[in-house]
Amino acid sequence: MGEPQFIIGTSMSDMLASMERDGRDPATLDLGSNYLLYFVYDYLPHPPVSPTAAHSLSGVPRAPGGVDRISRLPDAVLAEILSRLPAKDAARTSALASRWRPLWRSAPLSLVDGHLLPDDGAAGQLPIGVPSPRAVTAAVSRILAAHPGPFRCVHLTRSTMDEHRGEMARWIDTLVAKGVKELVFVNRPWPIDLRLPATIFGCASLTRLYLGLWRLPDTAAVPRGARFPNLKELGLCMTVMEDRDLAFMLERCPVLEFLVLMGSQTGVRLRLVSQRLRCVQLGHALLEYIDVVDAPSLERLFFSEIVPPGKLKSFRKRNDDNHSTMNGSSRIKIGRAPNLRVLGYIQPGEQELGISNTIVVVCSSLVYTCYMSIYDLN
Amino acid sequence: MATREAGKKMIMLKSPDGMEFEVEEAVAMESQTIRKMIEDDCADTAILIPNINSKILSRVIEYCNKHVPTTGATGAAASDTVAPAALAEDLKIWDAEFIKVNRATRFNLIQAASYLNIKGLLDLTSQTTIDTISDNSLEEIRSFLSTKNDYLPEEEQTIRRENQWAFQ
Repeated sequence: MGEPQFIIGTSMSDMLASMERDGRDPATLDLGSNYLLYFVYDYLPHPPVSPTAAHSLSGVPRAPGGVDRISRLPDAVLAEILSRLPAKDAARTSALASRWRPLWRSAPLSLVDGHLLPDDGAAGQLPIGVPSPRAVTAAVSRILAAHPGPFRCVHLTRSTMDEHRGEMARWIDTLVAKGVKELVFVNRPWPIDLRLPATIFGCASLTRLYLGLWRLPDTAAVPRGARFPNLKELGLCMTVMEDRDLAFMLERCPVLEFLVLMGSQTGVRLRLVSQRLRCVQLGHALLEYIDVVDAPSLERLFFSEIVPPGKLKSFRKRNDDNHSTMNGSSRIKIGRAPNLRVLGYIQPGEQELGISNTIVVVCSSLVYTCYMSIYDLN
Repeated sequence: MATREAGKKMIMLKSPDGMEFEVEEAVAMESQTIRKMIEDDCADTAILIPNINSKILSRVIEYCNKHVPTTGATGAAASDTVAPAALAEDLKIWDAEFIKVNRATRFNLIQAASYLNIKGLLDLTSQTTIDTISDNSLEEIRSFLSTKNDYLPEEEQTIRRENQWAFQ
């Protein structure tokens, strides 16, 4: 490939070279990457549909007197039932009888690419090094083309998109055109910093979006008016993002209530001004600062496994070159957040907490945990 | 059944067989269809629920009564005080009991849930059908549903070819 591949801000070649220098087995890098992936997959929302374990119908009584009550239900009701099935099971019903033929296309689609694997994805996510299943990628293309929409939910986590750049662009165009509500789109390594097409910003129908292992779209390429007017939940997992990309993204989500930032490949610097945001969750990430400027609806601000910049050698070095004010902790600053109820975990020596204009009442304090009630003085 | 409490607005629901049910507005609004009627001010006197007989309608009301989010004096949802997991577990057990009905009743409930647009009830009532369709062969599904295959062999082949990915 020639281009350097990055993991958490360090290129793979640098990492391998340093491992060799220190006399460590380069294979442990794979272990480390798989470990990170494991967390990414853990953070993703569960799909609303799942293949049920095969259960025998032998003991189940047939419909009495040969009356098929299900087929007598109106089309709209049958479509609602089919929308609760994995895409494959829903599409199969078209071969039951002519009455069923058009129904799966009239039901909102729920597509989880893992369900297209021979074992329905029961074996879990594929570790790094396992080849991307081309049959699954091809089937996704066919299903997205065959179904007229709307798409209730689409979860795509099994394809190495670098090998399928054409599909990547076409899928997003189709998802935009046919109106997807819930989208989970996670690239498979390598590389893990492939640029996501800016056309994703055209997806106004989205209510829930999780992106993983991407470089966020170049915001300069995003049309001016593009936004996510209905997006309530946004998760960015192991993404590479510039501060302005993240700020731009949040700016374009006027009704966002839940924000999950997990395992950012770059240090997180977050400034929050949001009327609707209720919960922010930050995990497995290098946090430089979070500045809650004005978030009147914010109730919960969660941190877990947060790395302060002082712990990372490359960051320390960069900081020494720039401003020496930073002492290496993650800085958490709370401005106006009158509804904030939960803030934690605060690790001694790793975070700096600044709260203005508020009274803090610590309700209970565990070794590394603070639950607090914070009331605005105004 | 719902009892009249001070300050709680009541709504009258009528089934086509002439029975009347007085329910709290909040309970009735578990149905998105009824919610829309109330919000559009079409619910001054009584709301006639077509196609749903009193036996089924009373079960639907029973379900909504159980699933309506209870609110305290401050307006905070009950889930703020009761552990949500415990609440969900309690509802799951209740649901499992509720759905122990014969097939005819279940299909009537599916139809009612769809017409009244009560998502949770539709999820619950259609689960058996979903389990049946998922992961059984077409022959088994047809047999279970007593659905006759009215395709010519070549027609069925065409359909299978159209969506080959679904039959692999």
